[in-house]
Amino acid sequence: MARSKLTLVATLALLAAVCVPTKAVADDTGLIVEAAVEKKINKKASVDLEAEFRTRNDFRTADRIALALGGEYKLTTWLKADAGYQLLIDNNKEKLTFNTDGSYNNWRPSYWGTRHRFYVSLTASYKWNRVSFSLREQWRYTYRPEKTTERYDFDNSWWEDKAVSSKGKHVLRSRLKVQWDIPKSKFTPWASYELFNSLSLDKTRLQAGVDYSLLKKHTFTLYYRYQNVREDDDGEGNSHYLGVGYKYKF
Amino acid sequence: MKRFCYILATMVLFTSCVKDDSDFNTLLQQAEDAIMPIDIALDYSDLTEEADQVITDIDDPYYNDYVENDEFSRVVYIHYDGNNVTLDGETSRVSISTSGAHVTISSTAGHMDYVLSGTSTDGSLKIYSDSKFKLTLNGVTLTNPTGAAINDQCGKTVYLVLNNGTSNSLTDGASYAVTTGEQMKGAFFSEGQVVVSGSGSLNVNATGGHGIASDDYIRVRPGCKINVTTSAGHAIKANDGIFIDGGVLNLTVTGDGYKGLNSDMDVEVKGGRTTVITSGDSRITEQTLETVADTSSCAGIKADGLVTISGGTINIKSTGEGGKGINSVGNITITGGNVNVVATGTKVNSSPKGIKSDEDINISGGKTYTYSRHGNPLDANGTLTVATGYSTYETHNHRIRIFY
Repeated sequence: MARSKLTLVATLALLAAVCVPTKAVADDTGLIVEAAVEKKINKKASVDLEAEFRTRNDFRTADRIALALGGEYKLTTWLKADAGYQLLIDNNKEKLTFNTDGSYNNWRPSYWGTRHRFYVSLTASYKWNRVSFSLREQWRYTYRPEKTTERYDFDNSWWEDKAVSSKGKHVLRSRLKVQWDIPKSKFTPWASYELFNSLSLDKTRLQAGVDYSLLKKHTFTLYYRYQNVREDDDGEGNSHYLGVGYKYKF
Repeated sequence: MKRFCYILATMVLFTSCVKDDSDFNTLLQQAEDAIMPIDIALDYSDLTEEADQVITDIDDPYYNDYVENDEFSRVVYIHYDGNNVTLDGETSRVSISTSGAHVTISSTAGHMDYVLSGTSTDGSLKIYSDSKFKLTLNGVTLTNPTGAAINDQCGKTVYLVLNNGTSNSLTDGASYAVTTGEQMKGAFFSEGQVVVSGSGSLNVNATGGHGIASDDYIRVRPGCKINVTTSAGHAIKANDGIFIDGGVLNLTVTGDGYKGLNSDMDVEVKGGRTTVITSGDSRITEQTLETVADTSSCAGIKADGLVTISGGTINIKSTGEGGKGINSVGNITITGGNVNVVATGTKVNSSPKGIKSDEDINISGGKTYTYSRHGNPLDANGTLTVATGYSTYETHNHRIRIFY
C-alpha cells in the first residue's frame, strides 16, 4: 500500500514537472473525461463502447463530445488488431478573417458540428521484465459533412449564411507506449508519445499517467497530455490536458 | 467514489458552459475604429482665393462668361417688402408687371441689370428677355410658396452677381405652379447659362425642386459663397455642364437619389472649396415611355460627361444606401486640387462607391482621398491610371490615398 501511494505521488510529481515548464503562454488547457465499457467475447475478442467529453479555454468551454464503438482481436500473443467508429460532436472555434489591409473581413462564431471517424489499428507489444513496450499504428479517416453556418461580413455589415464544406482526412497515428508493471500494486504508471501524420506531421502528443485497477473490473485513469500542433487545419492549438477516465470490463 | 464522480461531473458541466467567442460588439467597434474615415463637414469659413483671371480674348469660347466683358448700365432696382415691391431705375426700358410681390419682367432691351433687395415671404421674380442680362442680388430674401423664387426664362446668359458683403436667400415652394409650355426646375431656375460671381453669399433652400438649375451650363467664379439645401432635387443641376472656378460651396442634399452637383454633360473644378453632404438612399426611378426603371443613387458629383478636377478642394460625404462620392459616365481626370470623398452607406439597391467612372480614371496630381465603407473606394470600369511621381499611394480595402 505504501509503495502504491509512493507510486501515485511520484507519478503526479512527474506530471507536474512535465506540465509546468512546458506550458507556453498561448497554450490552452482543458479537461478530458472518459468513460468506457468493455465486453469480453472470448479469449481473443472484445468489444467496447466509449464516451468522451473534452473542454478547452482553460477548462471553461465545452470542446467535444465523442461516442465510440469498437472491437479488438488478439492476432497473436504480441499482436492485436482493433477497429471502430467514432461520432464526434465538436464545438468548432470562432473564425475571424482579415482583409489584406488588416481590417476585419468575416467573423464566424463558434458552432457545433459533427464528424464521423473510422479507424483500424495494429498494436505490437513487447515485455521486458516489468516494463511493457507497445507500438500502435493506426489509420483513421475522419469525415466532416457540409454544414451551413452564419458569419458576419464586416464589409457589408450583415450576417450571411456560409456553408462550411465537407472534408475528409486520412491520418496515420504512430504511438509508442511504455508501461511499468509494479509488483503487487494496483497502480500502473505509463507514458506515451504519438505522432499524427497526414501529408505532413500534423501534431505530436505526449502523455503520462497512471491507471488504478480495482477488482480487475474497474480501471481508473489519471493522466496529463500535451498536444503540440504543427499543421493547424482544424482550429487546434497547443494544449495541455488533464485527463480522467473510467473503464468497466466484464 | 460515487460522490467524487458526481462532484466531478457537476464541476465539468458548470465550468464548461462559457463560450470562448470574441465579443461581437467589441469586434464591430474595432472594425469601425480601424476603418474610420476622415471627417467631412460643411465649411462656411472664408477662403482666400487668387483673383479670377478674366478671359479677354474675344475668340475664347468662354469670353462671354465674364460680366466684366460687357456693360450692364441700364439698372432696374426691385425692392421687396413683404407683399409689396418697389421698382426704381430705368423701368421704362422693360415691361414689368406685379402681383403682390411677384414680379414679371419682359425685356427686349440689352445691357440690363436687375438689382434685387428686400424681403418677401410670398414673392418672386420671373424674367423674359431677348438678351443676356445681369441679375444683382443686393441683400434679398425671397420665398415663393408656389414655385421658383427666381425664374429666368431667357435662354441667354444670366450673370448672377452676389454683391460684396450681402447675404441673399432664395426659397421655393414644396410644389410648383408651372406655366404651360415653360419649365421651372428649382428655387433658382434659368433656361440659359448661369454665371455666378461677386463676393456676397447666396443661400438656397429648395423643397420642391433643385436648388440652382439651368437648362444650359452653370459657372461659379471665385469669391462667392453658395449654400444650398435641398430635399427634393439636386443642389446644383445643369444640362450642359458645371464649372467651378472658385468660391465656397456648401451643398446639403437629403432626398433619395439626388446629387450635389449634377450635370448632363461635364463637371470641371478648378478652384474654390466645394463641400457636399448627401444623406439620401438610392431610389428606383419610374419607368416612362422613354426610359426604363433604373436605380438612381445619391452622389456628391454626378456627370453624364467628363469630370475634370485641376484645383480647389472638394469634400464629399455620402451617407445613404448606395451613395457615391463622385460618379461619372465618362472619364474622371484629377490633375490637381484636394479631393476628399467619404461614402459610408450600405449596399442594397446600389453599390456605394467613393469615386466611380463608367470609363477611365486618370490621376496625375493633387491629393486624393477616397473611402467607401461598404464598397469600392475607387472604381473605374475602364482603366485606372495613376501617374508616377506620387508621394503617397496607399491602397486599402476601404480607402485609397494618392498624394502628389
